[in-house]
Amino acid sequence: MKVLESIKQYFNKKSAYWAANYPKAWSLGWLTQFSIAVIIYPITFLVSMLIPMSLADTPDVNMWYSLGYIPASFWGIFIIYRLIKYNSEKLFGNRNWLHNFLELPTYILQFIMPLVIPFILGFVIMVRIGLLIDSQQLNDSKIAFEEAQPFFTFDYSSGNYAFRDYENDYYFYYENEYSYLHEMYRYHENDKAYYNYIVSGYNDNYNIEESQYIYENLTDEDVKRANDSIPRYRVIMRDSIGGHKGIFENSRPKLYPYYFYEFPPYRDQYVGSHFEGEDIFSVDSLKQIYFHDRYKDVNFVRQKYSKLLTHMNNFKKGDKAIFNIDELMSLYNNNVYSVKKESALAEKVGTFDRLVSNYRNQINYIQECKDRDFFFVYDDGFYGVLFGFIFGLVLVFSLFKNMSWVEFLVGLFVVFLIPILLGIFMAITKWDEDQVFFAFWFLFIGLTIWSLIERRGKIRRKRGAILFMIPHLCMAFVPIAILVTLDEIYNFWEWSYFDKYLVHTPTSYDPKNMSYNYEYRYMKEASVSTMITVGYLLYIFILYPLWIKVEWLKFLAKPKKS
Amino acid sequence: MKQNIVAEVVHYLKNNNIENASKRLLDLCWYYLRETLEYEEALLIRKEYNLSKTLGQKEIDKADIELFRNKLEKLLDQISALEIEEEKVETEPLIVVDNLEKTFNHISKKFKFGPVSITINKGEIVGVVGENGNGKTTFLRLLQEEISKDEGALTHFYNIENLPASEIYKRKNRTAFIPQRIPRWRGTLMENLIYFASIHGYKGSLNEKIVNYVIHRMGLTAFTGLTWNQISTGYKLRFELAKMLVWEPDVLILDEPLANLDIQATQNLLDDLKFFSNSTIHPIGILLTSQQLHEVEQVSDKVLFLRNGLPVFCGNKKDFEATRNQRIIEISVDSRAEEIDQILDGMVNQISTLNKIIRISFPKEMASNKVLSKLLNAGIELTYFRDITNSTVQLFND
Repeated sequence: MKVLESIKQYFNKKSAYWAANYPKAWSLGWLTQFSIAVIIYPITFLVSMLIPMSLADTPDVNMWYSLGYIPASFWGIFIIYRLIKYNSEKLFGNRNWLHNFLELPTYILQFIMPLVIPFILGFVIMVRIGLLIDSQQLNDSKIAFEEAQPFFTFDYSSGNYAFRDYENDYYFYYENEYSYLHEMYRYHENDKAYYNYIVSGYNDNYNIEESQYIYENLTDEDVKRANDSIPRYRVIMRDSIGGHKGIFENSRPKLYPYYFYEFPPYRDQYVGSHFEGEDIFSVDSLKQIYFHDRYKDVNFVRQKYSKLLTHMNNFKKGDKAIFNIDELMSLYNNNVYSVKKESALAEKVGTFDRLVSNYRNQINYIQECKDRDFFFVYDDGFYGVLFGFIFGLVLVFSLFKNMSWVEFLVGLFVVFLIPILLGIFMAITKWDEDQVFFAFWFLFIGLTIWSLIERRGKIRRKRGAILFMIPHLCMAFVPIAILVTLDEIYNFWEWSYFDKYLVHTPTSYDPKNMSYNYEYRYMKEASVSTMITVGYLLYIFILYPLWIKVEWLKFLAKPKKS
Repeated sequence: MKQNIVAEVVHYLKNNNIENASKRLLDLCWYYLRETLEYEEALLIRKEYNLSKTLGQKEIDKADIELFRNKLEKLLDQISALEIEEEKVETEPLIVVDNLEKTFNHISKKFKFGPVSITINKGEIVGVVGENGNGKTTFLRLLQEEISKDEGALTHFYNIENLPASEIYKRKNRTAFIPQRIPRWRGTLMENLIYFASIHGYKGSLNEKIVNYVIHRMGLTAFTGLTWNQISTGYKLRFELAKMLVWEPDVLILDEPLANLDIQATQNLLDDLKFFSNSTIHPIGILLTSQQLHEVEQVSDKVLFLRNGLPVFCGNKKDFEATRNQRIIEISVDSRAEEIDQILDGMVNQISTLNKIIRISFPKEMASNKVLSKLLNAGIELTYFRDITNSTVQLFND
């Protein structure tokens, strides 16, 4: 108890010091915030370190990251309570320009602090999972798994593997993060242009979209013919985990000996033709080497499935078993892979499906953890959205600090109601996109001008406060709105100027398909994000401290009508 | 002023009134000896005294009284020996109100306030009196610029700091307003006092000094860790006053501050207000409204009497006295007014009854003693007497 009393006294003393010397920071609860951070961050770290895990039972990083938002929310509520507890503006306390400049950055920083909790949880658990198995062992497992891939087919609708139950069919898979095509084509021997391999979506992660092209039940004659023809029958390993940055860089040298060794030499006509002939996009030499090597023509050798079992067993021996290997082996021993699903062994097949799916998922998951390939680590878009949310919260909160309860609530109601009603009206009267866009522009400009006129008066009216909410909430988004407006007027993004960014991106439907390449996309994204950033910075460091805050302070002091 | 305070302290000590003696001695040290050991000693004595009191108890044990008296006497001797330079307080205007008017056009009731003209000077207390609904609070709200005026002018002569804010914000930065219904605050008393002082520029050691002074001076020593829910209405007002005093405003406006106070608390508050307004270091202008006219008049330098929004009287108390052409006393007796009238036959101008109070008017030249003597000689038992000749209370029935 004495210790607690001492801690309490210590904090009271510190609190008094801050209140007496830095009232603004104190009233914003910085001392309390830091105290909470000093306690809660290590606790979160400790919890992350203590969560039990094994290769067979790995915690869900995304789930833990999401769970972190629960304490973060409580902290956020506490921050809001603390922020509304004291309001020096409403008490007409002393102010200087620095207060105006630091107001929004301070709020933003405060609301960011709780978000560190989910990050710590997610990040630490992710790193721990990544360290469960060394890269070499994981690569061996992947290789073995991929080697046996042709035995299975992947059912995208259920997310499970199944044995192939077809004959003389080509299967073509096209998969990426956003779309999925699963097409079955009858085999036509002469249709040489049929295979279709598209490389797209590169970025720092080497996000690679791949296709699978499998012909099964080859006779020796088929194989012989395949070896003599280009393009030939080929098995392109579906490499769902190969798209990650860390994998191919780390594993490339080790991959080839396992499953490319007995196949015909690589022919440039396949992947190379895309790079050299069509110039899909500029790729660095490393990537070229990777693709050239990665997708050499391979023959299908059925016996290689045993390697998968070997590696699965290795997992087990190392006390890192994920699956029931014995059961898996018994399935193989019974040659069930060739059995139709409708057969009496369907149940066993189902078990096998799950085992293989789990195995694949687990490998992928661990590799993702090793690569730190989670949205909260790499995905800039996520943090952009998150910042946007925090910024919006800060805007609404700063509104509250400058208004009375009644003005605030009525104002928010009105500000959100106007666009909704206008939107409904436009929908009913069938305005087109451009009309709606410009209608909102004019609405914004009109209301802003009205608010400025209103605020020139000597009396504080609710109407003036509510109208000034428009520039308060919208000004930050004016630069991006201007950019979008220019695009609306001049068709900015479709200018012929950008034709040089058009590239040949053939699809199975349209071999002559053209689309803008990633340089264009990056340029467009860069323009958009630049304008958004400019809007934020302009608002936070110029518009708010020099204009909007000053207006609110004037407004706060004005007398009411009665 | 020093000599006055010393004399006050001596008087209080003689009557074993440690409460007032310790308070006034602390005031003396705060104004003239702020950076000395004497001040620290006075603060310590006052703090110890505050802590020695049991909540709800008016005074402390006799042994403790003796102990504190000795300490105070010793300190008083030390202080009396010191040479203190006193600054003369100049009477300067703080707010000049010129024909201020405000009209409320409510559907159910229309009300017009003003025109009112008055000057609030530094070191002056202005009592705003009148019946309910006659415009007292409206006047305070107009002065505070909480509501807009329709006509007239308010001219402020504040020493406004160079704040990057509008003029009106700056004026509000120097005006303290305590409404009748005190707004709820959060946190502890101590936190609030420190915060209020620091947001008005009293930071660091200065903050500590003024907060400590006000806490102990106002008898809040034992309450610093308490929150809104833990203190009584009387202490809420006292605390609100402390909150305003820690940042030394130019003008202090109080709306019905005496409404919920007992007699002792009322007297203490009025004493405190008088003292702070007369401060030689930072004299402030004070405006207060109240129904307790006698008490308010005791401390007020000026009185504004409002009826139906119009000033029936506005000016110095002495000016009011000059307008009175007859003497008026109020008495409370067991007898009926008719009997009193018979006893005083021929001596008085008028006798009226207000509840159980009998109000007697007679020529100003006649002393009240003469009337009283006659009543006492007639065997009348007086339970209450007050000479209201110079009090605006008589305006209520004019």
